[in-house]
Amino acid sequence: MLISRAIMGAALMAGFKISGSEIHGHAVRGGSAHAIVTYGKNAGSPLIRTGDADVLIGMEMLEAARMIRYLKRGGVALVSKLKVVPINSMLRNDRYPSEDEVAQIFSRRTDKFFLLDVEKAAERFGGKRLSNSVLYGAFSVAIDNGIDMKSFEMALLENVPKGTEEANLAAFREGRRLIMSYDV
Amino acid sequence: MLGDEAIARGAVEAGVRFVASYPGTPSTEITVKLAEYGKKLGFHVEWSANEKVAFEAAYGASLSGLRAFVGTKHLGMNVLSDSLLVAAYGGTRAGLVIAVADDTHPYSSQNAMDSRHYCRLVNVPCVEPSDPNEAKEAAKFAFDLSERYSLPVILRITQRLAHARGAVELDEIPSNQDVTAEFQRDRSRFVLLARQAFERRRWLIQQMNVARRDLSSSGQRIFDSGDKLGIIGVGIGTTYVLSIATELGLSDLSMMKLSVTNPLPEESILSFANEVSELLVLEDGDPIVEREIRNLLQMNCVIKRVHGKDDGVIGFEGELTPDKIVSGLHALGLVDGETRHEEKIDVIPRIAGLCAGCPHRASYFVIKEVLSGKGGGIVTGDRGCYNQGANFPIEAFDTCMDMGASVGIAYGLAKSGVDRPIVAVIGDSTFFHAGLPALENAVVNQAAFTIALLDNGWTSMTGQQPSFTTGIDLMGQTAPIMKPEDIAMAMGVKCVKVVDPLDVELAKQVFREALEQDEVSVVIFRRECALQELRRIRAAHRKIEPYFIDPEKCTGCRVCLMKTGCPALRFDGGKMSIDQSDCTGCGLCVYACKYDAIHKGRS
Repeated sequence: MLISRAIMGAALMAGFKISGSEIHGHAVRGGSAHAIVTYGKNAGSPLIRTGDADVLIGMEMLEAARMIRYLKRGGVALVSKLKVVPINSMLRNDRYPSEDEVAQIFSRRTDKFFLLDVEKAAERFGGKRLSNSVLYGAFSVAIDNGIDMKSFEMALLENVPKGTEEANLAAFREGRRLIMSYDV
Repeated sequence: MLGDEAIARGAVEAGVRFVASYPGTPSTEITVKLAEYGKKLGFHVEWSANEKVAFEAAYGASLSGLRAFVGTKHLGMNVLSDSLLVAAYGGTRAGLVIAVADDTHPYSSQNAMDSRHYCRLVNVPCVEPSDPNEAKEAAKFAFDLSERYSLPVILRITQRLAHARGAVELDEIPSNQDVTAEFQRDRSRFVLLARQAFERRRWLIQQMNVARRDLSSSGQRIFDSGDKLGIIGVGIGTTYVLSIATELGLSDLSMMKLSVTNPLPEESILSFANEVSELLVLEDGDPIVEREIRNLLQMNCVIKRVHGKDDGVIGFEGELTPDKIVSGLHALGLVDGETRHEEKIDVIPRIAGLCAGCPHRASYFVIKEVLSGKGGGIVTGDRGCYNQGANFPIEAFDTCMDMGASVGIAYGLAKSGVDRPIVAVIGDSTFFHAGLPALENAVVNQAAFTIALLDNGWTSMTGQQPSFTTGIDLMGQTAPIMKPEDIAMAMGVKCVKVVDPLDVELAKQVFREALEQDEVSVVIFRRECALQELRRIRAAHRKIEPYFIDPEKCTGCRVCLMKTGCPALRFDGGKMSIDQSDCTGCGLCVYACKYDAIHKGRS
């Protein structure tokens, strides 16, 4: 939710009209959650058609794969390597897909699939909680998004808890670096 | 701003002075936001016992001259409808608005009912905005309408708008809104015996007829590229059409957006219908406006096809989506070529459960252990975050229906003579919302079953709102604590016990004894919501002592996970382990391990 709010904030600062929506589901209780963000010269829509998203940002591999129907063919997918294995996978025959299998699922849809070790990057700057900012940084450079870096940074600072600004900014920059140096 | 927050802002800009609600997704954020404003601006905002009480309180405020507001989810409309259906006859003094957020999919509700049926049943105006900015304006407009016609007004949104974010233009908050509360007696309006009700019903119909005339030309043309199809859009669907039209370059269609949907703006609809060949009605929920438009055209001898959900052009299941609209436009020949069908990728499901450290997990552990020792029992469940205990692997519930139903259904099963231990599981907030009358009934009409009252001190499902057992109110003030045990005893329940569910052995013993009573018994499993406890621990920079699984002793049987469903437990490489950052140190898993493999701290 932080990423979506920050992107909307950045787009607004960059002069775009924004729209979006959130499905919290039972995220805090181990369920899945997602948010949709649209921005542009015209007011967008809080919900989009499947197959229409320019970018899919996945904070967890399985959930990224679950939402792939929203990603347009040839769109950019930024996916964290994080695995949150659901309980049904530990107790039933629901096998959690491997990194290769997730890559395979995405490859049928796009060749712009970035599988990022977000947690490792975040931990370098202070902990897993900075993962959002790493992915947000990745988004800022992964696609021609029309938003300037200053807006990205200011919107981030507006959306993170007080006292964590420096760490989040560092994580944001690390996210950018991850994309720039991504080795396919 | 969220759609919900925009409604709160609109109410404040309209000078609201009194807010009473009960939390419920997707409407909770409206009242949470209003509480922030209320603290700053000095007006009253409360979580009431239930929606009926909330509405009655707001009605009282309206009668005393204060602009009043109720926020509820769709299911709460059922609870308050009893009062609303009568209050509409009496009519209001200061503006009274009920904002209802329908979960049309549903994403987090037990049904997907369309609250707008109530607007027809009660005979009151209904306003439906299509984006957050409109939501704010709609709240103000609803107050105006309410005062214009002396009627409660329903402001209806759906979950997508409730949780939609968009830019909202703020207007000034009026200053000096302090109103002296004063009740002006008018027994012909407010003492509704049958004779008065006959007269007031006539008045109500008359008021709505006046509104029908006044609002007949409302509605807004927002798109015009031809006359093959005229879309009449209500609520969030109109926003979808605009972006679809831009994206697909649609031609040959026009659109009109309705913001008042009861009474229907007849003049606007008729003139629009006369300009186009066919109509398509888009609304999130039941085809209510769609059917009324068909009726309206028929009454006026306008022969036009009206497409929508009844003829299958727009899919009926789940919320209205841009995909459904595009496939509808395709079916009507307005989008040519391919329609994309983006199939869901078949990945494994993710089953949600109780949080790590949740005291309800321990309560279920105790209940299931004791019942299995008695050859199994029947557990009727209720609404709250404890209904995550219905999910795999705890799977504790045999029924989970409406608020308070656990007690009523358990009583019915017991009274019918079902010869198995029967347990009703209900949370503290739900007990005060709708469990009380069912318990009274069980005491007086006498049946033997046990109520397991899971008292975690908060309304946790909707995000930790204070409940009547918390000791603070929504405004952050100290409030009296209701003790369910005192109430149960006062009602005449003889066996009333309070236990800490994490004191597992004692809790089992107490619960077992309660099950052996030959009349209704109540066991209160009391321990505070783990999220609250963790928040305090973190704020005080205290350390949590997590548990640890000895890999030497762990056989990988996974019984600990099967019995507790705790998200801090991991199974990897044939062994169980505990995620040290997720574990809250509650220690329940220790009771589930036969091999003595789980210990506090690193061994």
